[in-house]
Amino acid sequence: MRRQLTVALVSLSLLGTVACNDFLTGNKLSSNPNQPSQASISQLFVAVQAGQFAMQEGTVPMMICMWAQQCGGTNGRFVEQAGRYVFGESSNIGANGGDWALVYDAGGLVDIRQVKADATAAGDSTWLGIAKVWEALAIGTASDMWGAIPYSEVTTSATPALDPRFAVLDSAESLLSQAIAELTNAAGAGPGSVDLVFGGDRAKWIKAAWTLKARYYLHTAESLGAPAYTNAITAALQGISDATGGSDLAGFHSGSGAGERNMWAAFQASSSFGQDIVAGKPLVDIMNARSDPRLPAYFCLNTAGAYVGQDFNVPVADVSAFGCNPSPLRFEDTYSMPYVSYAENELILAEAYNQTGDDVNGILHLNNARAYANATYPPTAGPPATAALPVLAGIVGAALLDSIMIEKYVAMFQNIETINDYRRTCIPALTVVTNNQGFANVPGRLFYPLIERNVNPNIPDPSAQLAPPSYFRNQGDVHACTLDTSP
Amino acid sequence: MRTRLRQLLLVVFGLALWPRWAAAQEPITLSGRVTTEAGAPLGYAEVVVSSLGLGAVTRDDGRYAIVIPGARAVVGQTIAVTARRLGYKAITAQVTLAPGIVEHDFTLAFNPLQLGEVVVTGAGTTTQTEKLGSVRNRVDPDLISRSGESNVVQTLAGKAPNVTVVQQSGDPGASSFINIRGVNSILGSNQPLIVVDGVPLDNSAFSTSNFNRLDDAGGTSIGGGGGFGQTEGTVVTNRAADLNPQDIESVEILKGPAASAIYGSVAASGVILITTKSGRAGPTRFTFRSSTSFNDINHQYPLQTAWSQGDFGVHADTAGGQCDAPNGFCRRSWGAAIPAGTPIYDHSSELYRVGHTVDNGFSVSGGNDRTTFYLSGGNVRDQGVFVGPNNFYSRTTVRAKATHSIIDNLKLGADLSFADTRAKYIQRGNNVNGVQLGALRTPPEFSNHPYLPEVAPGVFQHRSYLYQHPGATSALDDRGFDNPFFVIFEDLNQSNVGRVFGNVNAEYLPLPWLRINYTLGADYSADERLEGLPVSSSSFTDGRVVEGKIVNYQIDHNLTATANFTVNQNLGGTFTLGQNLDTRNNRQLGGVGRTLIAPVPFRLSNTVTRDLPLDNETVIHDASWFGQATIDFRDQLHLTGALRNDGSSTFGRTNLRSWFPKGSVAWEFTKATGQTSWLTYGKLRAAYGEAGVEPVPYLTSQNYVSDIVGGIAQGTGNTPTQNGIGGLTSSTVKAAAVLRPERTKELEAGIDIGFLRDRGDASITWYTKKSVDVILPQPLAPSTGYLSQGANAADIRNRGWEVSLNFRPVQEGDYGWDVGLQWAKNRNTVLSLGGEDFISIGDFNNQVAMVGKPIGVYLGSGFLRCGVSSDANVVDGAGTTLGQVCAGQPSGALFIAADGFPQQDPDVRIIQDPNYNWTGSVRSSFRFRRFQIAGLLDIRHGGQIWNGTRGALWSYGTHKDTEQRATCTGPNSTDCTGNDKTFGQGGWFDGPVAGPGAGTAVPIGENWYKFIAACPFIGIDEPCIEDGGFVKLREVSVGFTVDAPWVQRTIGFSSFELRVTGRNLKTWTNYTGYDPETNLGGAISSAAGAGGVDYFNNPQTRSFTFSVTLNH
Repeated sequence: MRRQLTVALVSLSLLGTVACNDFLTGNKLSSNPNQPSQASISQLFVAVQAGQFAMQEGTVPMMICMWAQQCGGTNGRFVEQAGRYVFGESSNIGANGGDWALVYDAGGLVDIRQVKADATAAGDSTWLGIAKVWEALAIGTASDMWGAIPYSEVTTSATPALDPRFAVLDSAESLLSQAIAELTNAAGAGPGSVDLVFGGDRAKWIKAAWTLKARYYLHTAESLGAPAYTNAITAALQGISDATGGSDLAGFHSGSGAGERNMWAAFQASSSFGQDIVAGKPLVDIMNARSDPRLPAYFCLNTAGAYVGQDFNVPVADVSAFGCNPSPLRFEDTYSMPYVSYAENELILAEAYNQTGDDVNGILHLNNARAYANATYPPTAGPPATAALPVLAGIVGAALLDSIMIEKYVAMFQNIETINDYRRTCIPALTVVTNNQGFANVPGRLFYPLIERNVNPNIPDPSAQLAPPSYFRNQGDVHACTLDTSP
Repeated sequence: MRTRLRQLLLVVFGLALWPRWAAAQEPITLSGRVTTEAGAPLGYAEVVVSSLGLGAVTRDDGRYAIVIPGARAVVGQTIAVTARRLGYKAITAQVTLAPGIVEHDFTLAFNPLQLGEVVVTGAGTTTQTEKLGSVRNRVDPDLISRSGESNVVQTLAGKAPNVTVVQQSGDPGASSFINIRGVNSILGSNQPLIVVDGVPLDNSAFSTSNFNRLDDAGGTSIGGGGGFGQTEGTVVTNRAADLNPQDIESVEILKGPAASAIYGSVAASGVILITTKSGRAGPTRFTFRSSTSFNDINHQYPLQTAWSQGDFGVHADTAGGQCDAPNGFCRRSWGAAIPAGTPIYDHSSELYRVGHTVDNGFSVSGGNDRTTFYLSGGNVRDQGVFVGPNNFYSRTTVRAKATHSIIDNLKLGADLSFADTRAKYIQRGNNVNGVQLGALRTPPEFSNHPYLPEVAPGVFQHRSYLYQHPGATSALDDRGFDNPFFVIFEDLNQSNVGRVFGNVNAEYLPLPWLRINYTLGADYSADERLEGLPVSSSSFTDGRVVEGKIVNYQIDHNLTATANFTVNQNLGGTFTLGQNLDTRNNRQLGGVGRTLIAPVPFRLSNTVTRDLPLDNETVIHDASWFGQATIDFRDQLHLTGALRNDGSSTFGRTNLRSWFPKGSVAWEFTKATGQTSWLTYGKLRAAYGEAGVEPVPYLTSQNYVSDIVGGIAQGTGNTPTQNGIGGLTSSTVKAAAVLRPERTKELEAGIDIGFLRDRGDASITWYTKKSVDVILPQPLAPSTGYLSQGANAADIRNRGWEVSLNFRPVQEGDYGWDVGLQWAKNRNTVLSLGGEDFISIGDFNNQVAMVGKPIGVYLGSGFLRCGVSSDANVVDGAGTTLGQVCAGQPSGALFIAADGFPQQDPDVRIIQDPNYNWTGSVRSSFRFRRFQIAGLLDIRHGGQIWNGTRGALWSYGTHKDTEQRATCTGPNSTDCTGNDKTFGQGGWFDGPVAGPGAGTAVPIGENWYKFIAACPFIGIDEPCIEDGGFVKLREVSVGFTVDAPWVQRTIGFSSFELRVTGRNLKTWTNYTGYDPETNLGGAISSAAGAGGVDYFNNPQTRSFTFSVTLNH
């Protein structure tokens, strides 16, 4: 018996010694069983679009909306930080790290570049061109908010240097030129229905690319003057010309499913902070003054049945919210938020012609934009009733520029381009919000996020970002309507 | 005559059990009595013949009997017989065997230092207390039993130096986090491995919110698993709570690698060795225990009662319907003064009642010299302090443990436990559906009753202070914040756990000097979670269901062989070889359903849409060998050396195995120098060991993921899949090329002394441990396309002292008094992060590991301060710099701008350190005959808390601090008058100030509390940092034992004990929130090193427990 037991126990112990390295490797041990290790170009491209939709509808445009006072606020961190300029490199409103990551990380440049590589390998210049337009929009938007950004070294350095803003804009122009050529070349089948914006329609992408080129030329105009306006005209004349808005480069939101909604709608419906952000007084006042037909599409009525905007300096009790039933068009789940649009294209032309002395064409394109507004947002009986915008005539020079920029201020509601326009023209005249930060002007840009500065020594400390000569303005921002406290 | 009869029966009994094939010769019975020096019989004393592998346990009358089989009973042979019992000094006698019955009695002396007691040192190895080269912390099971806690981890609070326990809140079932000697790891749990009867016990914690990735407001995690969801939702339980504390016989704490290296790559944070109760040979014993507790919150939140709902001094027009939608004007309590006579409602107490806990249990144990058994059952039901039926924790446990000696030298055993845990929790934390957020923000003049008024016949609608007059059609309108009673009564948050754990084991002694132990253990649990938000819940007005399951399955095989050797009387020792195989499988599968089809039930199948599910699995295999040798020289110098070789699937293919050594020396110097009247015993000891932390699985895999991208706030991100087309993004975690286990190297040294004839003892230990190759999500510049990469990049050091002092000034037969003091200090320093200054580890705030700082400090925003902030800061429109203003001013002076207020520093800095400066405890007990009173003070000094609740309530104007307020008509200070304060004076930010506005009195009202100081919303966190130190009267226990003959006669039991225990009766603290013992993310966050966060956490409780125990 004892011998039998000894044999049994020795056998048992030997069984244990089977634990050689085979026990430590294999399926679910050496590789992650939960996530795929390969992704197709289609899978990546859909995700890129999801990421860039999130970028164009995320915290940055919401913050811009408050800085430009198109949005007001009643409560919460979005208002008390964004509205009153209390923000920093690690603000918990998410306007820094999260949006910065959208530029570069998942759904951003890392995946756009993989799409480009896959498209190149497949000889699909259509797909390649579309990816380049997205890349140009991503880096251009990033540069709008952070000025100089890492770009040329993002794949070659663990600590990419900052490309100056104009270099980034040059890179964007170059990408767009390449994209136009590749889309024109029309090789490859392209993404087809995987392209949620245009369904792979090359012609629409080419026009959107031209409008985007025009936008970026304008971003240099404050500094470079007439040549920039001329370039903008040349580009915009080839830009989006579909007056129905059906060719706008816009977000696509298929329904009310979580994670696929217009993000401003999701913010209203699901974030618990939706009520904290409301209509802003300057925008509402402009639109009320002309019974703008877009009022019902932008705002809810207040409890008194009126459109009233919030004033950060003199708070108003009963203001227009963005969330009500039914929602304003702009806050509906499936609303396709325009990122690069016919209206913008027309107003770029209007401004550029005006600035190059051609007010005839300037007012023509301004009226085109107003006609688009009338067609897209038919007047309603109210109350309060709205009315079609009248055709303007006889306005020239600075007054015309004011009309153009006011129209653009209204038309580009919720679009990040609003802060670029304000920086360039100081129109409309905004009263700086009383703040505890010592800011005498509207901030012109964001701090670089802490998560980048921690690793990348090219990022200066926040106090240095505020210090002269930057003063929180971007290269090319000449006018002092945005933050400039320099002695 | 009676004794002889018993002896005869024992002989007959022994013969009857003796296998026929072994009964070749006559057996010899060794019997006798074990008593104290005073002559009192000692039950439960163990008498063993080590050389023959035989033993017995004394009965209540102190009698024992050991039958030595005839085959090994050599008449005339002298054998060593040892008698021992916990608390008494073991004694060994040489007994010469004679035919028949050999009588030998033992008299045991009191042993306050527990010298000679056998202690488990891990992985199948045991030794005696005096031979230990590392500090020994044993927790008396009586202390565990008396604590009145149902969570075994919480029972350890204040029981040992540098063993820190923090309970998430007072919710029934709330997790308790335990840490020993500081945080070693960044991705590891930082909690000790818990081993029950030789088998690892899962002590994980998982938040149901992790199934809900879209609405999850927390941060992100590395390595998958759903991220941190614990900052919203409900509290979570740590799974060690499935163990019934009443089943515990002993707890040994191996505090760090110097003691725990034998467990290798899972033991860097120490090991808690739990031995459960076993049966003893002798009469069958019955124990019945019943207790009932009454619990209430130990602190009410301070709220103002003078100011109404509204803004800028204007009362919100509630009658006009203005507050029938979540209007910002109605959101806060900055309205007009509440007119006299207006009813005021106490939102700090209306949610609570006296909670009630019933804990019943029994045990049956017994056996004979071949077979022992222990059976127990218990049920605890803790009805929490929130009103309503949805706040409870119930645990039913059954345990069966048995051993049987098949033959003399082979004993088989089984040890199985089943636990059924069911709990319902209350939503809390960073959560509009949380109870605290709605309750504490409610204006004082608003009644939260009725929360569900009947607005039309048979139609009931959710009513809240932001939605005061619901109508029949307002089900889908947003309420802003849920009415707290709606949260308590209508939400469903449940967890049902079935768990089986235990082992089968064998002990085989093939030779007198060789012992082989084998244990095959398993631990299986299935935890079913269900959360339901009904229709009209804020933000999720059409309802939401989260449903999921967590399955954990672990198998552990452990084989050891221990050889004893004795060269001569001056030299002996042991040698152990062992092997361990371990597999751990964890599966999480759950999803979110939105828009309820019918109002109930809360089921995924009853929802219109479903989010992408969380579907996560991890599998880990470990295979290890280990050896340990001990040498005892002249019975006073004890050397131990051990070496473990670990292989783990987490190490990666190129680096599958690692070595972990250990060595220790203990010298009982009083055996060389001799005892004196003042120094009874002395031991010097030193130990060194290395242990590790396994890498998080799959960090070496590069993958694509379907995680949410972007988002403005919770609920707003995009899924990579859009319009029915599947999408994937690159993981933001870049694959690591190779990973090694983290390695913690610990050196400890100390002295243990007994003095004044054992009236006192002391233990002093110094340790330093350096954790190298600590794996961290090494931050990558986001501009490279990745956020992090797993890397063995960090070094962390913990260094400290531990002191324990015990005095027994009065020790008489009928009465005694003892006092125990413990003090410990740990200094944690991050030495390196592989190039980065810091990495974020927090799930709510930006708590970081930062080079040169203790882990978990908060890198946040403060005010401009001289010598602290950059001198380059421009502080006015004239270009004046802070450096110019601060010239000649003391460092730390608060800069005051011309308007009389401080300004935000644009550069972040360390503003909070949640780590305690030191911890300690004072324990004392007094007994008089059968009456006993004992108490425990738990002391934590230092350690700051970010009180975001207070900051938010400042903003909302409901905090008591805001009762004194300036009258403001707008957001700016120029709009405010009254309640003037001067920074730096009169208790208002006392301390030096500098700047043009220094000394200027300014109004403090909505301008300050809402627009500057409201840390959770503004982001200037400095005003919200508070001292989190405390002294807590953790336990007071009064017991009385009755064992008079009438007890037996009247109720049939030999004795009963009555006990009253008070728990957490009083807390002395400067902390202004509910309780300084709190953390928003509970054990999950604390395990990452991120403690000290309070954001609408639930309160702590105090309790009185009345118990009766019947013994037979």
